Amino acid sequence: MRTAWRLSIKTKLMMMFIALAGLTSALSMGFYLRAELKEFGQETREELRLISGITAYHSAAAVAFEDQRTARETLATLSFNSSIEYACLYSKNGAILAEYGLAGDDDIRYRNLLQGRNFSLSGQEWEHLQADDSISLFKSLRIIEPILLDRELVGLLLISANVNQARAALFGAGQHLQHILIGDEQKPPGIDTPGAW
Amino acid sequence: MTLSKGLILIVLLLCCWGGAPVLCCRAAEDSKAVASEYPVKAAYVYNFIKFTEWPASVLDASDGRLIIAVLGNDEQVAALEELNGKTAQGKVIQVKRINSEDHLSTSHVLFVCGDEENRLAKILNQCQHKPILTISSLPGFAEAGGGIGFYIADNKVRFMINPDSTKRAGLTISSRLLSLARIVTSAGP
Repeated sequence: MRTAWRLSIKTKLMMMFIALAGLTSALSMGFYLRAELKEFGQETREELRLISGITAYHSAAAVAFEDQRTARETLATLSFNSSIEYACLYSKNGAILAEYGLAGDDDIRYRNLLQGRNFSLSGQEWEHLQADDSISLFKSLRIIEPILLDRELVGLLLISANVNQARAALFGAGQHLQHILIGDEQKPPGIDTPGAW
Repeated sequence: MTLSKGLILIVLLLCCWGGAPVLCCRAAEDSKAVASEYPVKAAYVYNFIKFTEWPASVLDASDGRLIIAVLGNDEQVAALEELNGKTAQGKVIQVKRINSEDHLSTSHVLFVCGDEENRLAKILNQCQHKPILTISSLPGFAEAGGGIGFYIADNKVRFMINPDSTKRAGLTISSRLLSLARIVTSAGP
């Protein structure tokens, strides 16, 4: 402390300036990361909403006629998106028609929550289910999509995606930025893979 | 000899006595299986309507009703009548029993019961080029020019569609429904 006191005004000002610049950089980096994470979350959610909407539309006939084989085939088309880990199709009375992928612990909880329920849900119950459809960064994103036929609910689709991939992509982008800043020309593997996100 | 005849008679009587309940149970099971297919088929008919598009002019002129005409008389009729009052395509379903194919003009769907096999050719001829979705459980119905025919496979109710026939009627069947059906074409002359 005494050593710092003895420093010249110029050095003190310089140190204060560096500290302030460092703090500003850290804060802006923090805000940037937070915004990026939020954007990734929103993009992932939108992408999954689109995929679940399309899948629900195409599975309506299989669900209405309780055709398990076609229901399984429809869910198998989700394999094009590597972030989708688990999906489940329910008929109107809550019976599981088809499943895709491996269910994690949380997926099993959700699957059992929906199983056996009659989906002639009241508005309040439906809102409750929709409220569970929340994004949790560093975990999973779950979408519960109603399957409608002629404006009537005939079943439900549950899709669970791994959001860790978004985080990995984000940290990969951070490493890439670091490489650029320190002048390393070599790109880390997998960053520019098209369609990673 | 008399003793052995008596023994055979006793054995036969015992078999009948023991076998009768088994046979009765089996008969009851069979009738239950048959009975349970009717509501399933009625529910399928309801779903077929949802996957079918009629020409806009036909539905507009329907006075808010979608009419299912039922020709013939078998156990399916009661199950189909359960659809009365339900809504599909924004219209209220009305199930109407008819005795003759002459009363088809206002119908959107025609269900042909099993006892109408003899008149099938005439019925289908009457429906040709009319926007009527024809459905039946009669064997060979779709191949004969009908729209949708039911059949049983692996103890489940399945259906076959004749897209040429529905196209001729001016109806559009959703590809989602076609993907579940066995597609057939009309049998040659």
